[in-house]
Order: sequence, then C-alpha cells, then structure tokens
Amino acid sequence: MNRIGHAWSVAQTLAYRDIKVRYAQTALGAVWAIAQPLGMAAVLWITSYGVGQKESFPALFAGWIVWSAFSFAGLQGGLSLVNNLSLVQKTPIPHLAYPLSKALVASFDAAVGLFVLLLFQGPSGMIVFIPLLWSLLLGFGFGTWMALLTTRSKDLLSGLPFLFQMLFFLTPVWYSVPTHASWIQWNPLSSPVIAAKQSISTTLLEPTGPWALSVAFTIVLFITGPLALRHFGKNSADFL
Amino acid sequence: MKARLHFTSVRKDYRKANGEACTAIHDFTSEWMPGESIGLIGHNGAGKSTLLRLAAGITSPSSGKILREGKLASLLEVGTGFHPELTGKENIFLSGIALGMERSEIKALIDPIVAFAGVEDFLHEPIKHYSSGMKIRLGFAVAAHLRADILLMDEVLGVGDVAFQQQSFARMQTVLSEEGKTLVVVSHHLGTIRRLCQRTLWLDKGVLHRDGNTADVLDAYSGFNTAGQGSPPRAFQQTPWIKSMQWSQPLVSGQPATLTVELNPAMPLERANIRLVLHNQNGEFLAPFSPTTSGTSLPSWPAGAHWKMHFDRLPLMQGNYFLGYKLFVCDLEKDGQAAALPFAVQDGLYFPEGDSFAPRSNGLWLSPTWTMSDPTTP
Repeated sequence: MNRIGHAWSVAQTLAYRDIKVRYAQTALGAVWAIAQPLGMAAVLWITSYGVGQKESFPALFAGWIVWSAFSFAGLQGGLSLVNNLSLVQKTPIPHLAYPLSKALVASFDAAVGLFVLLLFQGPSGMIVFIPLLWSLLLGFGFGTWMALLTTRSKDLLSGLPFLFQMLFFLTPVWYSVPTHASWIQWNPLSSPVIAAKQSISTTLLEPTGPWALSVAFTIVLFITGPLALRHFGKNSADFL
Repeated sequence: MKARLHFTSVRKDYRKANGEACTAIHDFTSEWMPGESIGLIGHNGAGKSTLLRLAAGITSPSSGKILREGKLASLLEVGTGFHPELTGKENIFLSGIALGMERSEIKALIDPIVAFAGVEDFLHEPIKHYSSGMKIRLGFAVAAHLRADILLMDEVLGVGDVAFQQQSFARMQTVLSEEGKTLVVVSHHLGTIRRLCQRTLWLDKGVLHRDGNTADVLDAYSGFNTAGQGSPPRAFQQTPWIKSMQWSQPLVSGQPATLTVELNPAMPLERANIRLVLHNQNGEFLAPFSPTTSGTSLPSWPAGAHWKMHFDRLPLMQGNYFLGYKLFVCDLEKDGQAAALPFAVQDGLYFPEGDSFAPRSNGLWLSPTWTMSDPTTP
C-alpha cells in the first residue's frame, strides 16, 4: 500500500471512530447530528433579529453549516496530531491522515446539514454544496498547516481555539458585512459564507467582494498544507 | 542478498525540553538481512527505542541513511490506536489499519485474531468492559497477524499470562519460519531475546557496543565471561557500608561454599541486617537469603564485623548467577545493589553417590525426602 492509500484508509477509520464515539451511548444518538446545527441556527436567528438584522432562518442555517465545516476541519484538524499523540509516536502513519480524518468528520456533518437544509429549502438548496465544499477545503488546508505548526509551538496550541473564536465574530455568519467594517469581507472565509447565504435567497451563486482571492487562498492552502506536513513534519513525533 | 534494513552512519539528535541538545544514536551502521531475528538490548536510555522508531520511519535520522526493502510493520505498543468506546471487532479494524493492514486483509484474518486472543464472547462489547488482560491479548493478537517482511517489536513480547506468552512465542516462531522474514525485538527480558533471536545488538549510550551471536552478546552483557576465557568475573564494588563480599573459591555444585560479607570497619552498625537476592543470568529471581528471616531486630555489631553464609552442598547447577543485596540499619534501607556480585558455578556432583540426570545449567538442586507406600501392607 502506498503512502497516500495508507493515509486515506487510516483517515477513514479514524473518522468512523470519531463519529461512532461521539454518539455512542447517547439516548438521542444520530438525532444530535441534526438537532445541533438546527439549535445553533435558531439561536443565531433569535439574536440577529434582536439587533435588527433581517436574515431568513434558512440563510442563517446555511451560513452556520458553512462556518462549522471550516471550523471543525480547521480547528480539530489543527489539533489532530497533538490529540493523536500515541499513534503519531508509535506508528509510521503518514501525518496527513490525522487532519484528513477531521476533514472527513466535518464532511459528514456538512452532509447532514445539507440534507436538513434540503428539507425546508427543496432541491434549490443544493446550490449551497459549492460554498460548503469551498469552506471544507479551506478548513482542511488551514488544518494541515496548523497540525504541523502546533507540534512546534505550544503557544499556537493554546492560541488556536481562541483564534477560531475570534474568527467566528469576524465572519459574517449571523450578520451582513457592516458598512463601517467592510474589511471583514477580506477574511477568506467571508466569501463562502456570504455566497451560501445569498444563494438561499436568490438560488444563484453571485459572487461578491474579493471572492477570487479567497478561492486562490483556498487552493494555495489545500496544496501547500499536505506538502508542508510531508516535508517539514518528518520529525514531528520528536516534538510532541 | 539485499538487506531488509540498511543503516549507514545514522545519527539522531534530540533537543530536550530545556533546549539542551542530546544525541540518542551515534554513527550507527548495520545491515539486517532477510531471515534474521535480531535482539536489541541495552540499559534504559541506550537508544533502543529510538533505533526502532528510526527503523520504522516514525522519525527520520539527523544524518546518515536508512534503506528499507520490503513491507515493514512495527508494534511499539500493545493495542495501538485502541479506543475504549469501540467494540472489540471495531478496534481490530482500527488497530489493524493503523498498523498498516488493509481492510480486506483484516476481514480475512478476523477469526484467527479473535481465536488467538480468546475474546469470542466479547467481540461486540466495547473494550472498556474488557479486563486489562483481554485488552492486551487482543492488541497482541492483531499485531501477531501482521503480514510484513520486517516486523519490529518494542517490549511487547511476553505480555499476558504464562499460557498466552507461550502462545505468543509459538506464533512468533511460526512467523520466523516463513522464509525471508526479519524480526527485530527490543526487550529487557533477556530470556525472550535468548529464545527468539540468533543475533543480538547491544547498545550503550547510543553506540553499538557489540553485535554478534545472541549467546555471546548476552553473556558479555550479563557481566560474565563465557566458559574457558579465563579472567575472573567482575568483583564486588566496595560501598561506604560494605567493604567486601566474596565467595570461597572454587564454586562447584554440591561442594561446600561460603559467602563472606565484610562490613566497613569505620561503621559500627546498630541492628544491621542484610537481605540477599539470587538471580539467574537472565535477571530472573531465584531465591532470597537473610541472616534473619523473622524480622526480629538484631544486636549491635562491632566495627569490622563479618557475615558468613555457608552451604554444606552448594545447590546451584553450573552457570552464571547474580547476587543483589539490601542493607538495613535500624530497619532503614541504607545501601543496596541489584547486581552486586556476579559469579559462576562449575559443574559438580550434588548427589554424592552420583546422578543420572542429563547435564543442565542455571537450575537448583533440591533433595526432598521420598517415600513409597505399599498397598499390600496395612
């Protein structure tokens, strides 16, 4: 089995482990997978109405699942080498398998989210697939870089969850880009989130803002992340 | 024939948490061939595990080159990747895939693995409900069925109870009997190495100290000289408490033998006691000795006192042994060494009238009383 093949089969198995363990022995089981994004979107809807925003519930839901796809693949992927310490130190599994497994879990969550969206949006909701994939690839690329860097810097390890919290507030998930802070659209994650929300109301993908830059950034991270992990991460097991 | 693993001037440096650099492996060059079973021995921190991790490709050398030929599998921990919430069957897949097996391969091997571990009735239970023995057996069973040309094992042989250990050894011997397999074993348990490996590498502080036939390297490692090479075994190293410890010479099975322990004359000892422990050359425990076995306190000893332990007939078979000791003063442990006095015993007649036993070594001679009852007499 070649390296990529081994990484892929380990990633699948670890993703299965994560999903299975997450719902093992819960009374509601898989209902959680549907209830969580719905509950979160409901909270966003209530609070955004409170501050006078007028975004529909499906739009907020779409924005939320696009954000969570990035957030899970990026944050959990970034912590994945450190959190799988014993496997990293005891097996020659290619390190790419770890952030890849988190991206697969994020894809599972995204697929469930998209399914729920289709329930109240009809087939036209499928358009959200594109920003969702975009955000997953961005999260995976970012996560692979972070997986490498967190093995070298313990500061980054503690800082990463904080970074994602800040990013959530700097991404127009539950608000529209404010005119007084239009720089928020330069956040590479803003483009897929805005695209998802707009596609719900217009059923079209009409890219706005610096979307091409975000796409370019996604491609660069997606390609360089795995390469960096391979080339600079040969001794990551020594740093953990 | 091409080497399975070929190390050329391999060096591995680490940076410790405090920033200090240290070298775990210095200039290591070696070839491990198909069909060889190789033992790696050395004290803690000698670099054995680092060498295995380099061989497995978990980390890469700071300088030098490692070439691998064939499929490699490494078992550096029993139950690699196990998750307590998953069932036994799911964990077999998880661990098998983590160790480099393919899904179809595991599917085909699942029955033998489960039978080997003896967990048939618990296959669909989460392993958090397993006993620790069952977890260990399952973890080893997965590894024992790995299909690879090179199999690396770090301190994982000899887990489980005695029956399971026998089963594991038998399995490893089957693996070795397949042509061209290379087995590399790290163990502190020299008996394991002796049983399984033809060739042994002795690492000391990251340097390859000796490489050769297992019996020779292990004898050297045990601090002994092989028979016929002449020089006497390493003598007792004096401590602040004990000036000397020595056996009467020669030491022959069945002949009188006396161990003399001379206390340091500068130390008058209040209520001193000594406990000796006898080990065989593999470091396995054989017997304890003490002038007082009941724990009663002893009188004060004058400065420079001697203890003598005497056997009318030394009950040790020919071979190499260690004595370790602990010295207590007023019930507090003051001094001790695990391998204080290595010594060799020569073959002799334990039963004065002779015996018809095949020559053996490293065992004990016992002379129990035999009676035979005759059913015809009341």
